[in-house]
Amino acid sequence: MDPETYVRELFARYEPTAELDDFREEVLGNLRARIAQLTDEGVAAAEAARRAQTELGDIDEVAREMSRERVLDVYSHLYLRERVRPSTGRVTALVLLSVVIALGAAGLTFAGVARATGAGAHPTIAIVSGLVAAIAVGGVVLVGTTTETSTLYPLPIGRGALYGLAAAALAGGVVVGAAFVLTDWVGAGLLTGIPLLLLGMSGLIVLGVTQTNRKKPWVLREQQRQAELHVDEFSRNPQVAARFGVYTAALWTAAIVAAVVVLIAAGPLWCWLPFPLTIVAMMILIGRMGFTKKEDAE
Amino acid sequence: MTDDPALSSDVLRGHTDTIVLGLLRRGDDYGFGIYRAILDATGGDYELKEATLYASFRRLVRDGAIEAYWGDESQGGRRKYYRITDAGRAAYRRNKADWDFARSVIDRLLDEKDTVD
Repeated sequence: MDPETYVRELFARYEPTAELDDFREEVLGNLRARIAQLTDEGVAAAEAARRAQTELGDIDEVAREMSRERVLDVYSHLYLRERVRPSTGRVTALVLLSVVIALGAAGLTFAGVARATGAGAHPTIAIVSGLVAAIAVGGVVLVGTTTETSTLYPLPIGRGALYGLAAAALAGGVVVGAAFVLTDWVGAGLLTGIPLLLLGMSGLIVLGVTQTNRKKPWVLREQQRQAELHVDEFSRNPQVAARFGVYTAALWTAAIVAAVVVLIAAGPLWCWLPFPLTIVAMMILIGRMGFTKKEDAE
Repeated sequence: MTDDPALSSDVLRGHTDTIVLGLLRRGDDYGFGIYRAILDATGGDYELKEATLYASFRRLVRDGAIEAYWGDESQGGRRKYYRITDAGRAAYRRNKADWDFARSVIDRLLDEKDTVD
């Protein structure tokens, strides 16, 4: 068998990627070089081709790695290579803050249990524990967001502090409210808890909406690579998407007309029926149009 | 088979990466060039599959020990060449030191066995 055919058949079973195409070209080139060397030494062409192909061996593992199935493995390999470990100081800070949160939670639980079993109310313990825990939560968020990880860049301290404040307010709102409720000062609890809660939530929402990219370049590249490999037919071919849009409009117009007709003909009992049917038809359309048959052949 | 000393495929396969690095230290080369160098060194008796080399190239490129580039060929096609990087040179030195140490330990153990006999 000539090398071109051999290589083509060898690579036929793998989902093509740019890397795989390069590899196939490399394999073919080296195969030809080996055949040329053997024929120079006097070996017959057919025998040279056969020997060179045997010497190639089994490229399945390498080829599979390069084709789309192993995209996930590449990500974990990149992660290991780009791994960033947080400093000891940060880890210590996080551990200490977690201990504080645990203590605060313990204090709150103690107050709650004492209250529930009628052993007495301990408003001071409850409120102080709650506040301490809430502040520690803010601290954890501050340290966490300003720490560089393997996948994310650290936030500037100011922004991290804002995140911390918002988180503390959120936690504080919940905790203070609960603490006051525990001590029967429900009114005071709601009065302080709800505003804090709202403040924290809106702070987090504003921060989230104004958040810019934190991901490291290697993560973005990998995500882009995966997105390219898993693109559906609608993203690849805008005409297909447009056709789908027209079909959808036609379907829903027909559905509305049908519903009206049914309403007039058979009363309101069954006039809703066209709509679920249209949804089914739409899903079938998406299934058929959004994905090519090639992807079934895995 | 003959009584000549034999090179087990398992032994060589474990060291393929270091062998490739060692060869690239002498200069850039492409897949078949590396294959031929190994073939010549083992006197053509040894069966190293090219697939093992391709796996090795891929590993080394991923680890940044070597870089690949396409070169023009006289016949009009293009050939994939590899060059060693500084990371690769450092890896080679480390692996060679490990191998020298392993060899000296085994040599010592085998020598001792001989004297006992």
